[in-house]
Amino acid sequence: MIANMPTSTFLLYIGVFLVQFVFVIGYGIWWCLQGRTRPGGKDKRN
Amino acid sequence: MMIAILVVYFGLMLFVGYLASRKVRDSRDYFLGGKGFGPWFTAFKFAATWESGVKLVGSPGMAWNAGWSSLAMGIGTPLCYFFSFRVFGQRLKLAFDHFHVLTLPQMLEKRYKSRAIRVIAAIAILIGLGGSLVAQFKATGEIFSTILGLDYLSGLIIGAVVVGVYCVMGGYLASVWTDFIQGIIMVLGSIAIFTATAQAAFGGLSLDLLPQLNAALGAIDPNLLDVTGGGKMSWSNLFIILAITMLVGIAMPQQSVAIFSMRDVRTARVAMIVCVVFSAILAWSLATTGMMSHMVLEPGEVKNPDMVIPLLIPKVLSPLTGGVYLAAVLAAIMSTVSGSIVVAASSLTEDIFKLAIPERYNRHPMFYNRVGAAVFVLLPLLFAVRPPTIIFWIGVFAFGFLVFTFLMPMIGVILIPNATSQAAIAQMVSIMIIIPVWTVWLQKPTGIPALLVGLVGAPLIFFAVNAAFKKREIDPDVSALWEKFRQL
Repeated sequence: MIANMPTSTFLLYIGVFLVQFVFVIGYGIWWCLQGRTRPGGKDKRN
Repeated sequence: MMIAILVVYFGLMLFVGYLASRKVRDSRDYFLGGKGFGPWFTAFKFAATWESGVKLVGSPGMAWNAGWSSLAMGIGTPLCYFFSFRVFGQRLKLAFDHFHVLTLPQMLEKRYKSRAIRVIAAIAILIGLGGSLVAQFKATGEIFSTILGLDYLSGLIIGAVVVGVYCVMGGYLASVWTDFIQGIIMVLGSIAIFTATAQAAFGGLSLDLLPQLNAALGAIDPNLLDVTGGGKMSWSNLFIILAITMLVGIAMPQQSVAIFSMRDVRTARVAMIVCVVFSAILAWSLATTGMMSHMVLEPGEVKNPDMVIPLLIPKVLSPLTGGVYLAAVLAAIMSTVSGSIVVAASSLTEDIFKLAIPERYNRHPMFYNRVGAAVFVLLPLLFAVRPPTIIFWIGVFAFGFLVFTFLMPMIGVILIPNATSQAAIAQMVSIMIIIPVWTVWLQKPTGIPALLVGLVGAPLIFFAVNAAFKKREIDPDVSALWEKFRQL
């Protein structure tokens, strides 16, 4: 039991949190920053 | 007070529709809003169209019923946004601009060099979106009548008139602007009901809210803490839903139009983050609200899970915040409806009227555009009064019908340079027959969901026919597009 919930459910809780905030949002921030630092990034505008 | 807030909200939506109508000059403005939307408008358009009104009522109900296991659905939505913007979005935007088109069927026509594929795609959109609009209007009528305390017909007419007037007046621009406001209202409403329910259940927000909630849930029903909700969550169904959710951005025309109308390919980056933050706020606040409602509502008071929100609002929210939450529910459903109306209208006018009566259409394009939008307000409204059996079934299979009809032809546009028109047409026509037939006659006897049949069948048909009609040389236009893809 972690935080009064079964470990399997706690893993689901953490999994959803990780997918949302670490995987997608974290990756999204890295993706944005990478575009900024790439020389000629503005040329990629369509 | 609540009614006053809703009247102000309806007035605001109509005013936004009027403002948009003054900026709309041609078909490009009417169906794509001028293609100049930055990340915030793109994100709110995409997310508010996807997160329907069902979520604001259904998610807390599902969490009340299945506890923490209902949160598993929260994994799907961020993945939907990741795939829509990161995996498919930039290439979709480049392809749409490369072919200089206004609608998805036109893009398929230019990519596959086939007029037939444009007509088939337009028919699929008219059937799929038309049918799902009837279902959405029916839900609008039910939610509006419950919230406003009216009969079903009055609720239906009020909802349809408000959303119909701003869509017909301002087209896609009105849909995007109203979706932006509606998205903000959805976030505010979700936060309001979450904090108010936490206040009523545990005396307010605190760091030990999670252990407190779990201890209380465990005492009421240990299944609420179980990872499967005591068997209430089907993980096989969840897997199918997750797989399909990832394809929404590319295969659902009312979603991909948000990508086509972006200002540039870089817009996708920030838009993805905004979408996920938006969905995360809704997912966590609504799921925990549903679970905390066990501590606020009397045992036996909730006869079915959809009653959780209507029962919770008068208990935990003030008339002001209650009005905001009700506006949020209406906002969620209206944003989904408006997205479908404009895309269906674009196919009717740009892909059917323009081909059938080109001279008349070209003389008065804006008149026909607005007629097209009005058709997709009035017809679903009429059918929603008492849906005929066939329309009921279209509403049931519309989602799978749309997703799988467009799946492989759209993937062909951005990922398969040697995809042939024969493969695209064969896949589209087969799925347009298989999904309805399977849903109506074969789903129950076989026990195999139509969505799974589409998920497996669409790629199989496409690759089999593509292999039979293999192209030796790639079209120069497609090669030029691939050159642009390489520069991403």
